[in-house]
Amino acid sequence: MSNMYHLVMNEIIKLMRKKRLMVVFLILLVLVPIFTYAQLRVTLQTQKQLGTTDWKVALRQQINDTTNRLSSSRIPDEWKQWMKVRVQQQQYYLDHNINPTAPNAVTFTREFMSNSVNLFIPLLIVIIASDLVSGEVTSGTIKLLLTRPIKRWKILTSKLIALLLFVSIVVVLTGGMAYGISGMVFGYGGWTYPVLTGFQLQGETVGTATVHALPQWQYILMEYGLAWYACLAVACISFMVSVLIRSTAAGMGIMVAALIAGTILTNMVSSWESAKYFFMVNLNLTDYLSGTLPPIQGMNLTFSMITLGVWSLLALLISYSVFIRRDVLA
Amino acid sequence: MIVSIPRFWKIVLGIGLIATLLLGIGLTLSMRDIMYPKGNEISKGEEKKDTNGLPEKNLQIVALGDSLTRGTGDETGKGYVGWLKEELTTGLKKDVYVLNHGINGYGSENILNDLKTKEDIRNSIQKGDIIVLSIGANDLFHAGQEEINPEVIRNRFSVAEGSMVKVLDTLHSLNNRSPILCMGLYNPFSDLSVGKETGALVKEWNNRVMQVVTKYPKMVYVPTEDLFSIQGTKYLSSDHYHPNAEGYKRIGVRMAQVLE
Amino acid sequence: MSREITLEVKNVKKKIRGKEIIKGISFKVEQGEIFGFLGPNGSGKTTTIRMLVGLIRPTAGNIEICGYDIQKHTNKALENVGCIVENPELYPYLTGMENLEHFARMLPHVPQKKIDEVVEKVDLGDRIHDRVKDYSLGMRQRLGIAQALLGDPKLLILDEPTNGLDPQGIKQMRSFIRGLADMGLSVFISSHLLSEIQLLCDRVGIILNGQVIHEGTVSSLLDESHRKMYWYVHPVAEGEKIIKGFSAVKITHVDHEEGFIITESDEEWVPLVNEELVKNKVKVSRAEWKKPVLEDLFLKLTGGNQFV
Repeated sequence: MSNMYHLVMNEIIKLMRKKRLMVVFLILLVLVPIFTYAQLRVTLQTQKQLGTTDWKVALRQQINDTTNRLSSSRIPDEWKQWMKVRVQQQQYYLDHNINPTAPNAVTFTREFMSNSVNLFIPLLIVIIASDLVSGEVTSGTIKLLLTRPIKRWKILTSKLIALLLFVSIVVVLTGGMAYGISGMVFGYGGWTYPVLTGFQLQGETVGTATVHALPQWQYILMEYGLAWYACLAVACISFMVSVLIRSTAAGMGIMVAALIAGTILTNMVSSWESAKYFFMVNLNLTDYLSGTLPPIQGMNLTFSMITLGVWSLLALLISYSVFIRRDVLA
Repeated sequence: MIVSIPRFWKIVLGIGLIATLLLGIGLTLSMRDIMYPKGNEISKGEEKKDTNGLPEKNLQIVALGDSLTRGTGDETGKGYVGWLKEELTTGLKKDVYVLNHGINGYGSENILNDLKTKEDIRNSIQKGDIIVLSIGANDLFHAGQEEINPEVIRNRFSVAEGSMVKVLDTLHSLNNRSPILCMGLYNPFSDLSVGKETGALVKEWNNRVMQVVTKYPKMVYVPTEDLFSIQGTKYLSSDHYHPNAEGYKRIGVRMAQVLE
Repeated sequence: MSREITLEVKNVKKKIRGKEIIKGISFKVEQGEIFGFLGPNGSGKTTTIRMLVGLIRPTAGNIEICGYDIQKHTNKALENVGCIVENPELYPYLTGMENLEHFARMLPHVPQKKIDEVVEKVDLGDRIHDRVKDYSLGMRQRLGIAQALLGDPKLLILDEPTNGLDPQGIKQMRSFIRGLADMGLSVFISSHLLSEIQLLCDRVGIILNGQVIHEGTVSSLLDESHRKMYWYVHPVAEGEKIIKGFSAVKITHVDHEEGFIITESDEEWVPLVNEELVKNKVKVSRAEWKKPVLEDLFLKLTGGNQFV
């Protein structure tokens, strides 16, 4: 066991020295302020248009706008369904006098994760995971690594553990940076503000029997937990690609392409039902918490978690069997 | 045995483990919450006084009604409400704001329902400095869904008028200090074979509206029929029903004239 | 006194993508000796080395290190090996010391004292705390050896250890390796340079096209009879004609441009040939013995058939 402790230690030291976390940190440091500013502009713009800071007025206008768009015949039915659900939820928030987007750093942190869970955060994970094995192959250090008197599966496991720890760190870091930076603009309060969850979606009707309010801090904890699960799946798959593909650039390209394909599919596949078995369509786990309509009929939390779990396990299975048997030729 | 452990290693390990634990807890909580949701009493969020720091000298328009209020057909997206706002802004040199509650397809029953059930809409009407309203078109015409039959339309008059009166009543009870502008109908079918008959119907309806409106001191009926009567199609959008930008502008300008 | 065998390769074969790269090779390395593994590029040297350290599985045959089969008791076998496969590839973004610590953690019980000891042995001094990416090739080579020595191995496997080094570095490397062998380590060195093997090794195995075509002591391989005589004469054609007159002297090559003729013969014939040339007014500007180059050796060993 002390054996594994030292191996994980090696991997973490290498990851730190490669400055991967630093890259993620810098990306967040640049992008979060941009998103914060964009959010601020939106808020100010609405206020300027409506002449009030009253969120209820703004929310009412949003509901009105969406309702009006629903009457357009050019909008596909799936979008309409999505919008109808949204309107009903917004109305529910309004009826219960709860601002779904109370302007504070905690809300920003919450919204930021729900917007970035399907692409942005997974990309950060790919940055960390994609050269974990292929990097050692390209640099040739794999030869030294595998000529130690240590079983190959242990070496791979140590890399996996280090990766999982870093996934956790990246998810928490994202939340921390979103909170820290947006707080400078929106203020740091809002931890106890209520958020509604538990909407039951049946087609386009929203059941509210099980709706309940959570303090925002708890909601965020839960939301980030879900995002973390999605990130673990991305990490496992990225890990497999890193084992299979020797070129880090190619591996990274494959992962980025898959993730972007996921976001495109999410927007257009509702009529192709079996697309729901793709892992990248299932990354939006946080939607189940907020009650957003999933992209394809028949998707729910259990389904998505199982799908992601199966993909992850298969990815690991392939990674291990290839890594343990493969001749190191390069 | 092994020495010279870089300082950061244990810190990173610690942070990583704590983060994993936290996220694991979060995941468990949300799985439980989503798979076995339990509704509970939702305490209403705290009522915060609207402390907007906007300038005193501003004017709040609240618009109610159907697609005409929404501005359907106006390629600039303004609708008569938007044009009105523009006119007032330049004319009165004030900041003018618009709350637009217009929803496509709304009839007077829908509006009445909103006024009864949606607290925030009632609120906004109470606070509004100018209320504008387009009502009745969807009660009378079911455009695009049926052949235009003057007889059928006339038969709808009494029901429509009844709901309209209720709407106006409610508006008056909510706000009796601000002017309420009620937009008259125009004849959108002047180029059709039934144009003459629908023109007469619209006139008749407008007369009824006018009569109701005059009962309320702050209410003004704003005719639009004449604006579309001679060169009607020139001011209609491609759907031959809603006005186009130019048409809306004429309505908006007229309303501004009423107010100025 | 029979010495312990640290490496034994028995009839090892390897097929890669249907092509037999290694066609059944066998050899032994004893304790304290430097074994040269000689072969041109592409002969299967690197593949063999990779099999020795478990990076590649042989298709058939056995490899034993200190009596442990690399397939069955991989860890036990690898505990006794230190190696550099191809280039000394270490983590460029870590310092030399961090690299050593990294690999030390992967071995059972390596105290800091041992790390300091190997650093001193390879003479890296203060530079050990610099990032490896700022190291010269020679320094990387030395760090690579330091890394290989961490686990107190009985067998050291070095792939072309002097490749890319300057003459000074080559010289240091040789004496360093010799020093290790004198302390009882077996050293397995691969090279495509005969001179390298000649200067450093006790015994040699020659690999060609995936087969070991010769295994023996270096001295036996390079016995004097393999030497060649280079005659720098003018005119060349005339010289060639005269030398051809001696049936015991074999002309192996005539270079008209540079103006020399290469012959093989016993030493006693040299003055006779020289005398004859001078007598026929052929100017002999220089005549010298040259040691055989690898190519010649292969020609000799394979009878000129296999080596292209």
